[in-house]
Amino acid sequence: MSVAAPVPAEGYRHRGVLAWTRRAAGTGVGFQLGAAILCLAIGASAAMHVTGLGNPYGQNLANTLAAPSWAHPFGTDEVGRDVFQRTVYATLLDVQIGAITAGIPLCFGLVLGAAAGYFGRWFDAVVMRLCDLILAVPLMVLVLAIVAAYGPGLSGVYVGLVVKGVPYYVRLTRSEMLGLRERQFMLAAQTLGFRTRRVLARHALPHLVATCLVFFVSDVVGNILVLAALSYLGLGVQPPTPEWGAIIAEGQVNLLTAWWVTTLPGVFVVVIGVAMSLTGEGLAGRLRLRGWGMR
Amino acid sequence: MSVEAERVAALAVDDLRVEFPGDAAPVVAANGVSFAVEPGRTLGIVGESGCGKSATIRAACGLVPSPGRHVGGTVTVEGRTCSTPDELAELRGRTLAMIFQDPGSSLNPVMTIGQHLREVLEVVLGHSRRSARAEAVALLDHVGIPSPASRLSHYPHELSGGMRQRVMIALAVAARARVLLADEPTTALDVTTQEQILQLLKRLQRETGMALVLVTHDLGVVEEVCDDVIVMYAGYVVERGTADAVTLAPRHPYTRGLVAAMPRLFGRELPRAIPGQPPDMDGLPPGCPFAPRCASALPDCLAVDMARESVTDCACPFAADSTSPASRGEMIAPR
Repeated sequence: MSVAAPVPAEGYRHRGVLAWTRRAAGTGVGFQLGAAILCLAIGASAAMHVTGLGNPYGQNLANTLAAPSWAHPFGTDEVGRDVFQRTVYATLLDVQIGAITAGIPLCFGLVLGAAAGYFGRWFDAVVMRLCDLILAVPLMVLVLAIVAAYGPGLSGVYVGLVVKGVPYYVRLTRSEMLGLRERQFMLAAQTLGFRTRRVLARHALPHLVATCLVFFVSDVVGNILVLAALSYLGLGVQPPTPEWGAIIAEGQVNLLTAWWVTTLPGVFVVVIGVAMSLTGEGLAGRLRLRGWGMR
Repeated sequence: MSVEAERVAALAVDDLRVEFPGDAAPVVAANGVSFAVEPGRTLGIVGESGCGKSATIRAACGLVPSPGRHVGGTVTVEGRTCSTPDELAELRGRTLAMIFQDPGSSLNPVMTIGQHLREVLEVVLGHSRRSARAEAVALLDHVGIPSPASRLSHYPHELSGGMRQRVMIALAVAARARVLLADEPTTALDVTTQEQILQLLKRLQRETGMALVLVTHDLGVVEEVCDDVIVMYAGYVVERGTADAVTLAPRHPYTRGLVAAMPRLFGRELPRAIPGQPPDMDGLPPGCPFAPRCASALPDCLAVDMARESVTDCACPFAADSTSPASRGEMIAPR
């Protein structure tokens, strides 16, 4: 029998979301850096939306394709709009679309995948075959078909990306669940009299979410890139609304003479993507290590 | 314990049959298993690995490991007769509890000890948050965990194996279960901790009068804590009786083999292993399943009707002569 170490009688360490976030913030430099960049970019973008600071739509035909300077850090585009302002302004829209089109599949995938992996049998078979069906259609073709039906605009993008995302989360969650199902604490939870729903939600979910979260952040970035591609094809966000893909596409015409219009927003997107990955890794690591508070 | 007043069994398993899908015919992991445990009594289930002990006990709480199925027989808990796992599910956590072999993996690694206890207390027993915390501390104290209040914030990996098993026991008895099923609760622990856990179980049993079913490989554990024993082989109950009768005067050749294989502190003889392996459950030969390994097998052994024999005290119809005191004498070591 081990001798009790002198531990302060502090009771429960978990107390709500705030405390959890505070502890999560202590996970490491990567997480802090990533979260800081994300907060800064999204915060700045939100501030522009709310306060009307800056002028992402303002044209200045006397100052087109200006090189980067202190006044215009990313230079100006064909019609003299400030590329930096447009890029920052677009953050909210892009991150929002990326998060929604990855978040909805995350939720559906967790529920369906967990159920398929846990219950198995016919439910598993049906869910997995449906996933195969969706995965069999190339993403772009699927989105194009939906956009063709809905007409250009964001609704087609949303539906296409969500439908396409679900199978990945289902497969990921299911495979995790297959291993988790055999773990004894799942059985122990059942013997303690918890209903299946609680066993899945409270005892299995934290393990499943940790894995999915890492995929989620890369999925957000991936979806933003798909959105950019669709906007480039004229199927996503319609001009003159600033959107990363659209901005990059518009600058492409002048790539040789005004490289900044394409390159600098591109670098910006990369930085945001890396920041998201760092944040996601940090959160997932923390989750795997510590789990969630009870509520 | 006033046995007269509590003649009703806390747990009665009747003609239980658990099947797993096999290549040709289903594999029968528990074949007509019947037993009853009265409140305050302890039943031991012994046998080699793969003889159906765990399948039996898991079926008794309605959690047969997939792809196995509980295909027949009833489980009666405190007078409530259940014939399907769903009916048993309603009793789990309140009247029926279970603890496992490996306490390390029975606790969710991402939940603290406090969260585990609180969840049971709040969800299953309807405590408020405040009273759950006080009750959690009391429970940990009750199962002999030092400085219980500070342990609430610990994760399972921060505790020793014995402590984890104590936590698991605390969870299981939180609802004052009337029946505690223990699937080899001490196998993964070292010997001194084993002893402490067994003492803890006995103490809790004395206090609450719960019935205890103990699955074990260890006949020493049976001698020490069990009142009654059933011996299982290849899904059949081959011998049943009081713990003293079975360990001191075993009748079935298999039980005699098990007893002879147990090291004795004061014996002159070395333990003798039973030759061979438990039979391949996928395609049992007709007759007595132990016959191929039995030292005293007869040609008639292949014609033994196990369905009839396994409900008697000794499933070997030819064992009568072997219970003579002369042949038993060598088994009894001075204690």
